[in-house]
Amino acid sequence: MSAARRTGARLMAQLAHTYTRKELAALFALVRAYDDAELLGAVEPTKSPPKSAQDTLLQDVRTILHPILARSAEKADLLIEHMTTAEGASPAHPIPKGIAHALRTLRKSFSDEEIRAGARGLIAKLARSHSSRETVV
Amino acid sequence: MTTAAYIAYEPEDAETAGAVIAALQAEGLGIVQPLAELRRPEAAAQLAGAVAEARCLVLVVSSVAARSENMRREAAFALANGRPIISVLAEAPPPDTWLSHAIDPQNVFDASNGLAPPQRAGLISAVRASTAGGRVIAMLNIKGGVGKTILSANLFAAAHLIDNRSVVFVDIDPQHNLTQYFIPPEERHQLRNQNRTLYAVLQSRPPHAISREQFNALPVALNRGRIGQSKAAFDMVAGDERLFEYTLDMRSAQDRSEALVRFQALISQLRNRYQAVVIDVNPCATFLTRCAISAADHIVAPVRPEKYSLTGLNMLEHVVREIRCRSLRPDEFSVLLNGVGDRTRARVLGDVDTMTRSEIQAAPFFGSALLPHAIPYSGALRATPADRYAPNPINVTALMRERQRDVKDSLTAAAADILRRAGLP
Repeated sequence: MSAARRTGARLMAQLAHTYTRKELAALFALVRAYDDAELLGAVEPTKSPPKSAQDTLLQDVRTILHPILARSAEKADLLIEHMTTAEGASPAHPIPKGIAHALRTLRKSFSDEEIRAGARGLIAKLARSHSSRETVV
Repeated sequence: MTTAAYIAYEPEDAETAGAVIAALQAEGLGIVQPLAELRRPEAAAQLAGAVAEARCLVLVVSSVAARSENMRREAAFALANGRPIISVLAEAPPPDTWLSHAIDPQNVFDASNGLAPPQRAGLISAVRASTAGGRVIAMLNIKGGVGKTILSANLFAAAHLIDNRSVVFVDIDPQHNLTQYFIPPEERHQLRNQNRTLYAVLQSRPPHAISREQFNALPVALNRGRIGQSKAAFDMVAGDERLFEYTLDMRSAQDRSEALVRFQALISQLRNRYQAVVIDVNPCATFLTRCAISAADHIVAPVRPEKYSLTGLNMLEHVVREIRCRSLRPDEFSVLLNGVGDRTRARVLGDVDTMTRSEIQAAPFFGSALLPHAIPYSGALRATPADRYAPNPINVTALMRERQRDVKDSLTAAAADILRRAGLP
């Protein structure tokens, strides 16, 4: 028996072990009716985009906050503090787990546009305190 | 047993000295008394060594002491070796003598009518305080560009983050790069304007001087995140560019003498609050180098793998000997190889890492001081990119932003080596 025939026989044996005779007949009918590409497309699981990719505000805020050298949770904490805590007061909010978590909190009080503006405001504030470079005299 | 105190006195004050010695020995505190053979001028190095062996100097003050050249030298050796001076008054000190500069007003106990119980308790507590507390580590190499500043920041950030050590940096370099590394410009300017930098410590007169009580408010927090916040502190006493006044001949001898005493008072306060007090020292040898060397328990000399590395080390050993008036002991010193495995340099220079390591190991004094862990060459051990902001200063360190495991592991292991050699459990 050739190697190809042996492999085919093994696959058929596995199919017979898994499906009933009626199911196998339906499967063979499908194989005869469609080409390989259509059949493989049907069996591969569909990949739904992650939730975070669907949230444009999350993408925007991540991009805006990129210049901050900190872990995601620390950036999120800074954003909430910037938007909800008065200058000089100590923060009272619970520490968020990340930016997505912070957005869920902020969306209760602010619109998406206000949150984007808040993130830009935080970066502008940091730029002011970090950017006065030493000058040559 | 560690020697707790060197008792400096003249035979005329033997009664007061005897009461001091009895009080300290009754508490199990080891003492050393002045020996006639050590007070000979030719035995200066041995005398300096004996003073440095003790954790503090107890000065028995009287009019005889004010005229004593021996006691003046012993006090100078104590200052040069960072040992606090505790004064016991056998009688009130005469004005305008060397004693006026040596006596620390916060460490004076009156024994003119005998050592009364409150004075005795205060004295014992002051001597005990000088034997406790953290260790003072100076990052120093007379040669520049060896990575003192960046290594200071990153080594001790690793000690703080991984081993939970409380650390305070003291930036004594007039270039104040360590301050710039951690603290953004706006905040630096505020600290400078509010006299909250080391410059205000070294000044002894208005408008910039601050009182010794205000020294405690100087450290600025460098780990400000609310997430995973450690209970151990990670702070800094910032420097500024005006420290350069102490590198030139712009200050009188009296100004410098007062600055040295005030600097040591600051270090003494910090030692009581932190496990590691890390002084980032300027290259070259100036008055500021003297301040750092005289206060340090342990000196770490970073060395780059290169042809002239031993020149810097030899100069360093020489400078320390001059300042401390005695030879450096091998256990007071560590050499850390920094920037090994730089492939671009290796193409040009060959195996310079091995060459440098063998050269240091073969040197009689430095061989035993070379740390087993070296720091690999890494782009992460540089300043923060200009377009990134770190509201929490500790985030600029390699441990917080570097993915390379070998760099993090080397920093952590080298920091642990240094602290162990410096005497921290």
